[in-house]
Amino acid sequence: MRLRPSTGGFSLLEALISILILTTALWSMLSLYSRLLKGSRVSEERQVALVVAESLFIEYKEKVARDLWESIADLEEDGETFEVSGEENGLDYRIRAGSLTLDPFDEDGGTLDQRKLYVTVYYKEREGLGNYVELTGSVAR
Amino acid sequence: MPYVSRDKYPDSFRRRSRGFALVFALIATTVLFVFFTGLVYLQIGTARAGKYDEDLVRAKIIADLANETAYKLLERGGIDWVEELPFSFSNDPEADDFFRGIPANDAFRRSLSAEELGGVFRVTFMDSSEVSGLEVPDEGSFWVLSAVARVGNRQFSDIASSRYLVKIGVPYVNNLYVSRGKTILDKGSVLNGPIFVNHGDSLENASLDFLCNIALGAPPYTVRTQTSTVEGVIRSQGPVRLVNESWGVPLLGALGERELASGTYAAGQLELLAPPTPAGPYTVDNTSGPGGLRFGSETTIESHVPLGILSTPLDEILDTLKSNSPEHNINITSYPEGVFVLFEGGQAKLYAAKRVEVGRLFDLALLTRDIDFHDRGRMGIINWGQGRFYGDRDGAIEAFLKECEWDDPGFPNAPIPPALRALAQSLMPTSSLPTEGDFMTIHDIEPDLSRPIETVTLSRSNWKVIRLYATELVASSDNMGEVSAGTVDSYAPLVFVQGEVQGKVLLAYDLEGDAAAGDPIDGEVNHANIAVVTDSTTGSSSGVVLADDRIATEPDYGSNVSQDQLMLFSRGRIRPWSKPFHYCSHLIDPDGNLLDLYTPTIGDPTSEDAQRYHTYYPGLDSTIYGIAASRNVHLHHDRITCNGKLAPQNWLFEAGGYSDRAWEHITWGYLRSQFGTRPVDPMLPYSADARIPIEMRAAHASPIVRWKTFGAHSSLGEEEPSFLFGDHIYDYRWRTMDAETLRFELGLPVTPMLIDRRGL
Repeated sequence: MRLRPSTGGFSLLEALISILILTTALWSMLSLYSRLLKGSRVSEERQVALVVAESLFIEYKEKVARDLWESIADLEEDGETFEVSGEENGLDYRIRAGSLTLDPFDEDGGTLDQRKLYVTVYYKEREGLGNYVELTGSVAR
Repeated sequence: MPYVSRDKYPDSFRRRSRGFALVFALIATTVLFVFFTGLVYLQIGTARAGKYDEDLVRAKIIADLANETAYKLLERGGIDWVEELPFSFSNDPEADDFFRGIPANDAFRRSLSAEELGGVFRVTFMDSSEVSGLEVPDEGSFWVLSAVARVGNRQFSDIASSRYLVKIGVPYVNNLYVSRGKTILDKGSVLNGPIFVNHGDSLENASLDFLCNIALGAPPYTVRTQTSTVEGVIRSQGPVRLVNESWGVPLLGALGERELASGTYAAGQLELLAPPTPAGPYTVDNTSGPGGLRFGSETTIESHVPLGILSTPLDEILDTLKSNSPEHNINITSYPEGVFVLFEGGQAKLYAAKRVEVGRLFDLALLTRDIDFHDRGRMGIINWGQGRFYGDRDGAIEAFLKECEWDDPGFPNAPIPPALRALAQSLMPTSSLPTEGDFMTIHDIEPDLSRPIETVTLSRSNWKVIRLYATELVASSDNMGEVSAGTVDSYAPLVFVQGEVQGKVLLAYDLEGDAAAGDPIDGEVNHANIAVVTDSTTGSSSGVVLADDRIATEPDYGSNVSQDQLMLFSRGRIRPWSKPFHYCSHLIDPDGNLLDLYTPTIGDPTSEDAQRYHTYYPGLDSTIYGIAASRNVHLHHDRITCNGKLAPQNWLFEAGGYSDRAWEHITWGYLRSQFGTRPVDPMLPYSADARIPIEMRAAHASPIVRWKTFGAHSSLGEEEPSFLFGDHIYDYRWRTMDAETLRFELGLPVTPMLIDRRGL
């Protein structure tokens, strides 16, 4: 009996399925990678914002203690809070001074010569991890 | 069927498996998956790295906040708040030391909660001896506040730490404020520990002098060579310039100056050796006179003075020093002539001050005095400064006589009394003397016994706190000898202090209300001044002394501490006040006679007074035993007038050089350098013609008497004090006393002092 030779190659169905699998996998991975790249870009911007925020924090920690303490107290007496904003390294920032730390030893609500200092730096990316970095620390006199 | 080898069939007959394409696709997919997974991990790693830094920054800030809070709590609660070292508290609700020792204040805890801060912290208080690798002086009490903060969850958290080094002591005797003047580390003195220079916000004027005890090498004075050693660490942020000031004149060249690079200088590197030993990095040439080393004014010394000290109102200082309020609050506003605090018989007696006219000082008397001194074989202006300036003695005399003839509009004019004229003529037989001259009235200050204010009985077991205050400032052209031209400054009444202290007393002088509000504590305006009366004409003890003088003032004195203590605090200045002793042989009394106080007091060389006068430490010195602290310690004028213009203080400085005892430390070298090397400001009436009036005005406040302060002398001011007149022997042992000694032996409440912070 004579065997009929094989026709060889892939069937159309095989090829279609394979292409579908590859396409799906490639699309999903590229999509994920794209998102990661985007996230990475966001992270870099956040890093810059963080560096700016840390720099501003250290700068204002000293400035508030040495130069601005009294004027902040005057503002508080008038019911206002100290707040400055500006742009640093292309990023918008906002700095706020909190009220004086309560003195736990004083039952009458006295305070310590220490207050919170908030530094917020905004970066342009509005998606993903958020669009600002905020550092909360303290400054004392 | 026979066996047929597959090789015998052609390829076309070989069986090909179906679904290979699917396998290839799966393999390719797997490869892609692995590849992209790697990229994903890389990206995640990058993202995590970014996240890591942010958490670390947050942790650092929280650690700093925690330490800052702990320090503030320590300041607030005192060291008794910390029952036993080591001590810790945390904001972690799961920790055993959750806000340990801190009163349950919800608002306070909420402000430091992990939710509010975004992390948890723990602060641990330790004795410095328990921390390895920490450089602290051997003596004194030091604590370490160590804060550790964590941000993130327990598995993937970032941790940062902060460390504060805190000295437990009395800040006002531990912060040495040294400036252009000469703080003398006496023979064999060893200054342990870091050096604090309370220079306020500005580093420009921070300087520190280490001088050999300057003594003029001319008879009858004794040349003293000194060896002082610095055993602490001095951190310099700028170059350290060492200047040899032999004879008060900076020497030039390698011998005179040496500049060291900025950095840290430890013990030995700054050893000041008596010459001629060429040892150490710099050797003082003391063969031709006194020498010393000086840090130049550009030197900056690292300071760790807590900012709070600089701006603490005086009443808070008092509260710090005494837990209770001052027992004696006395308003002295209604005594514009001043208040005299006389320590006597175990009491502090407060009287209204009274000015008593002693006599008149004519300009001719100044010249006469100097010629008199010259003829006695002592140096005088004719011989040195002006002598060089005018070329010869006779020329100088004639020039000064011409100056005496000039009618200075700033002084009243009167005929020169015959007695003075006769004396002058005897010294200048060939000169034509003026018949009129300018004069100033010399006053003495005494307590007006008919106007007592209050008497406070002192105790040796308990401190007495006397707080004087003024609520108004009064325009005055004469306060602490300050003579203003064109402007009249406002002052609170002067407070004069004198006598023998028997007990422990803290005397403070402050401003209150509007007066204080109008007196910005800027170091430039000082309105509430204390003057220590140093009546040197009597030859008796003057100034303020302790009845029990066993106070530690010398390194080898032993451990005895006087039962008596005096602390002077002043919103303004603390300085000596004295009659111009060195003119006393040429003053004219109200009857026109020569008022020769010199002869009856120290003119007799065999008298005890004269013996004391001619020793290196004469009994005529004004002396404060104890602690003197002020906003701004000035022992000289800021300004005087000359022809209606303000003169800088260095004029007065050199004018002060005319005094007897001041010769020892205000040498003619300064005067010579003024004339010989420094340019004269043409805008100021600085000329030979103005010389005598300047000196005469200098005599007005008479910063003449040798001024010594035994004990700690510190300033709370933001401007450097100038110790131009007199010596200040710093009792460094105040600094090295541990907290227990300060508390229980000296009875001083101790407070924490932040001297170093690491972390943020």
